[in-house]
Amino acid sequence: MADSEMQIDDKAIKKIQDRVLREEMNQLHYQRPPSIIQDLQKIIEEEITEADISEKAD
Amino acid sequence: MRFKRLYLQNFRPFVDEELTFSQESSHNVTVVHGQNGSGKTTLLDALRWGLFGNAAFENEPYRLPNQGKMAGTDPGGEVEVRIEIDFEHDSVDFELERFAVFEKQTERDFDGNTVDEGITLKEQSSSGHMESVSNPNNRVEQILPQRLSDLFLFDGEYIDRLSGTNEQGEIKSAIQNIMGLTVLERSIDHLKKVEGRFEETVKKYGSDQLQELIQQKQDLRDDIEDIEVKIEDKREFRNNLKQEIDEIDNRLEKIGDTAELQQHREQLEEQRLNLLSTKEEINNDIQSQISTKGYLPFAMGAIEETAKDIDRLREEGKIPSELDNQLVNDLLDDQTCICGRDLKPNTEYYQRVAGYKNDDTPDGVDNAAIQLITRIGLIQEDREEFFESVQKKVEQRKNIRDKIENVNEEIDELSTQISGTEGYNPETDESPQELESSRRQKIEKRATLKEQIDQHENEKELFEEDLEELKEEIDEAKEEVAEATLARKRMKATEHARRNIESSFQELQHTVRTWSNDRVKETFETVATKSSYVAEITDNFELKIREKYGGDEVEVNKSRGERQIASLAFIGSLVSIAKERNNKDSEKLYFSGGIYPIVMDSPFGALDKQHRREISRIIPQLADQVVVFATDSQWEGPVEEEMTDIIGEEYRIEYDDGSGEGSYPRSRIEKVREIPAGEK
Repeated sequence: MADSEMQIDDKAIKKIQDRVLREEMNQLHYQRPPSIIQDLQKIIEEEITEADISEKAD
Repeated sequence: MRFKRLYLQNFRPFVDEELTFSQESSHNVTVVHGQNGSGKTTLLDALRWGLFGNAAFENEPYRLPNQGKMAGTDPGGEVEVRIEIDFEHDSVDFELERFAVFEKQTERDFDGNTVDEGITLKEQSSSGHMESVSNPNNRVEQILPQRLSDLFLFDGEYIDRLSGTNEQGEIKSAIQNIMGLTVLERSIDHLKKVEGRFEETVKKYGSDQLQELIQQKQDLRDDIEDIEVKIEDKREFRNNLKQEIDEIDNRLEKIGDTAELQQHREQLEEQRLNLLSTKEEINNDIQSQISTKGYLPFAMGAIEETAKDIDRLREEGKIPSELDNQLVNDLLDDQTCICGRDLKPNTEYYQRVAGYKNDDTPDGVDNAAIQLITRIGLIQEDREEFFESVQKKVEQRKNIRDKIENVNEEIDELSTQISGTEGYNPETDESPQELESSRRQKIEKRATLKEQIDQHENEKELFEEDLEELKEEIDEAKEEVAEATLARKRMKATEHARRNIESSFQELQHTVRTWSNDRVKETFETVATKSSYVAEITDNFELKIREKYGGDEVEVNKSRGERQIASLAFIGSLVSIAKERNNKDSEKLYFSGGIYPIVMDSPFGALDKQHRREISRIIPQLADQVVVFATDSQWEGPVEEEMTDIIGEEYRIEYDDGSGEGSYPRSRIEKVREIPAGEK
């Protein structure tokens, strides 16, 4: 596997952190149903996409 | 957040009572005192119920509506319970209203069944108007999370629990909750699980299968190339043999007695080639017929079965028949009935036979059935033609085979004759026998080579089929590898984010421990009776009291009073830190601090006079707003003396136990004093 495929932008990590913490805080405040794992997984899937891999691979 | 007003309607012993809370920073204490059982705890419950819709009622938890009101209502009648709380948060006013309507079921029913309930919350807009909030429960939760409410709305029992030696987990949980550490801790835990999910995907798709398949494909291509080389070599060898045979034939033609025989053999060999070509054509023709019409012998059983079913359905009248109408029309045209009777137009018999005609136009089903039956007939014809045609071709092939056999025999005979001929080739001096023997060997060798080439061709065909399958598998594996690559990257991104949050957590945990330890230590030092006692929040977030002996500090068994003081000092410290940090860390979304009130119900139970005095002095300094519900005996003395100068509002609960006939318990809130505006 090419190393370039595995490089992750710091900005993307920061955005993931912010979105994860915001989601956690919302769910803690509003006592939402326990779907937090799926919700966090979705956040990461939205931030790291197939296009991201192809661009790096190209 | 600061409370401004509390209104109670038909809420347990309160029928129609109101109290306002002091918000002045110099007079930030509101006190409500009364005798035991007068309803002080109910006021705390009213705040909890109003804010969160539930409360840990100590007595008769199911009985919410006022007993006197329920007694005065007929069965089927309703009593509405209502709590109104006005408060301010971040300089914005809020008006909260929660209600529940109870229907009385029987004459002796004092509990009622809930038939309606709800909450409304109005928030001051930027223009100053009060506007309804669409999701009031969420908004309240955002302002004062229920999980933190125990820290701000508490009674003596909570203080006891917090100060219990086995309840240190509650201290840690309280600190983490209020300081935002909980959000970080939960994120870390949840992100680990998310990483696990991505790892599963990597394991599922990330095998070495693609590399293995690519290697297999390469091996297979090499094998095919090897076979192609073998085929090519053998074809070349065969062609060379053919040329050598031709050369032998030329040499034989130059030997006088064999020339004629050799020429005859060449003619026969040409004839054999033509016959073989014809045989090949016939074989192709048979193969073509079988592939296009070979289904007929096998399908015939099912087709005949279907035809029988259709006939049966027609007989049962389940498929309308056009043939019936056709028959009747024929009879009428012939003007003769089946029975032989004349059918003259306009006669009674003519009309009767005409009446058998089916009025309905044949529908699609009927037409389809008729067409199917017609088609079955054609299929039977096709089948017979197929058999005849194939049979004919097979016979033709047999004739050709026989002819080839005859030609081969003739050629063998000629070969024998040539071998027996006398003479020598004038150029090479070879005898016909030598030449013919060499020729036979070469022919046999060519035949062997032909078999080997056919075998190689078959192997090559099989390898090529395998290669096509492998290509498909490789395409699928490539897609899986792409999935695995993406999942691996997502796993790595999750791990990075988690490690960053872990690092923030460690840093903030250390800071929070330091803050809370410093503040608790400072607060406890002020109120502790023994100056040698020191309170501490340990690295594990445990609340400990130590006693100084010389230069050392030794953990001591705390008395209940000391432990309660430590707990109160702890709560006061947390509220104070949250207030101090308010908005200082606004760039960190997980911790922004906040201003919270302290509402205490009977907190002085186990404290001696000196401790009551110190707590009364310190707590109002730590929190922005303090509300104290106390018994008269707890209030009078040092607590009153210490707080009297900072009281903004003072109330007394007057309680009527309803011991008289037709009378029910009722509490009234009476204002004792309010600090005049000029003194505030």
